[in-house]
Amino acid sequence: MKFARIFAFLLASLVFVACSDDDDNPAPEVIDTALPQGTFTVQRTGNFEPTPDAPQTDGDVQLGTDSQGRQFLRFGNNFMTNLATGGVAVYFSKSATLMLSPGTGNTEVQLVGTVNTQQEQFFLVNPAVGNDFTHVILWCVGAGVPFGVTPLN
Amino acid sequence: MMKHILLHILLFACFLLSQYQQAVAQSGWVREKHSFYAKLGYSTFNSDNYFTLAGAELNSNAFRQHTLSFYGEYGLLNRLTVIANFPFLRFNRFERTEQVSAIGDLRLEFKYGLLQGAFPVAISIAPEFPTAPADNFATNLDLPSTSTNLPTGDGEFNIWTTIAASHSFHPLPLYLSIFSAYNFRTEYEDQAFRDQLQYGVEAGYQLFKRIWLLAGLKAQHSVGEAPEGVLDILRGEGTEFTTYRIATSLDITPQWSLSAEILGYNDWLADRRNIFSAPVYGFGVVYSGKLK
Repeated sequence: MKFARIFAFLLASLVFVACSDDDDNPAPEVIDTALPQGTFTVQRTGNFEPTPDAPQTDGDVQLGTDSQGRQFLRFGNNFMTNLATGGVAVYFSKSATLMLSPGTGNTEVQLVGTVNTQQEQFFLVNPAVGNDFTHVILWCVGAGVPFGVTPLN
Repeated sequence: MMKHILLHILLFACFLLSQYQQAVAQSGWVREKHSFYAKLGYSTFNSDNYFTLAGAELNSNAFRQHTLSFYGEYGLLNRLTVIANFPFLRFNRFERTEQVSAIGDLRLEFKYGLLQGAFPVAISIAPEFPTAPADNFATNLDLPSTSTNLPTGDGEFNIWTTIAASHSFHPLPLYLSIFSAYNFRTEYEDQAFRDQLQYGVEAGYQLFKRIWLLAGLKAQHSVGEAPEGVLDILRGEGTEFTTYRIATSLDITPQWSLSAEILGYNDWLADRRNIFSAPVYGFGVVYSGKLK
């Protein structure tokens, strides 16, 4: 009987400790490393505008860094493009014309990622690009035509 | 005099009989009751010339399409013809993607002969069913983590309505047809499509009673203002064009014939928009006649 009371006391203590652990140590915050952390500082901007060659892309573009110094490319809330065709790639380019040269290492372009949604989105730029990359180009990979081109200023 | 009249009737009858071996689509004629026309066709297309929604011409990766199709007409009644047009196997690819294939959309047409005689006029209604898979993704060879959607149909139910009139210049083995058609389009995944208007003209001339030469011109326009937002260019929204068609058929026997055609695009009546432009080459084997 005495042993049972001691066991019950220990069991209750464990329960209270577990509960108090939950109260003193909240669940860890999940940080999405695919998004800028802290303040996003804009360094250069651009704007996709509909043109006869690419009539269906529109929206603001920003290139900047977060508080950890990581470089991101941001498409604004007003961004839209045609996604029905499938793969739309985002490239930094050293000119307004996408010069793909896989045989020589694509020195004139840097692939950032692919567009999968409309409106605001961020692309981590790694490695970071310098000022020699002057344009952002949306490229319909299958058809090999631009869906949007903007200079970065 | 009587012999002269009989000769004219005989010649006209031969001309009409050879009509079994010609399709009546987009003409004022309908098929006689129980007569039929069936064609197994193959077409091929290869273009690196894309015209955007705004009509700008771009050089693109080559888009290639091959299609096997069935086209059939049957005279249900003397004034009522049913027509089926079914691309039963279509292959699509860009030069830098994998090839994908699937069936196309089935179009069934019910054509009624309003007027017959020297200036026949016919009307028709043709529902087009989305029998093709709405999406068909092909892996991009240069960026395999991405793919390009190359569907073999447009994913929506729509209805074509047509009025056509024709005239035969007998005793000359020559005919002329004109038509106008309106496509009531619907939507795909909440994306509404504008209706389409087509019109065209076709002339046919028979050589040596076994060879037909056909020439046609057709245009397509979108109707109304474009809806707000991103348009679904993949499913023909905003597609406009002018096509010219040169075709020939050779009667091998009274039932069997071979056909060949070239269809090309230009801007004569409607500027090219949202379309790959290049000649389409088509070949066919035709079996026609009349059921007893």
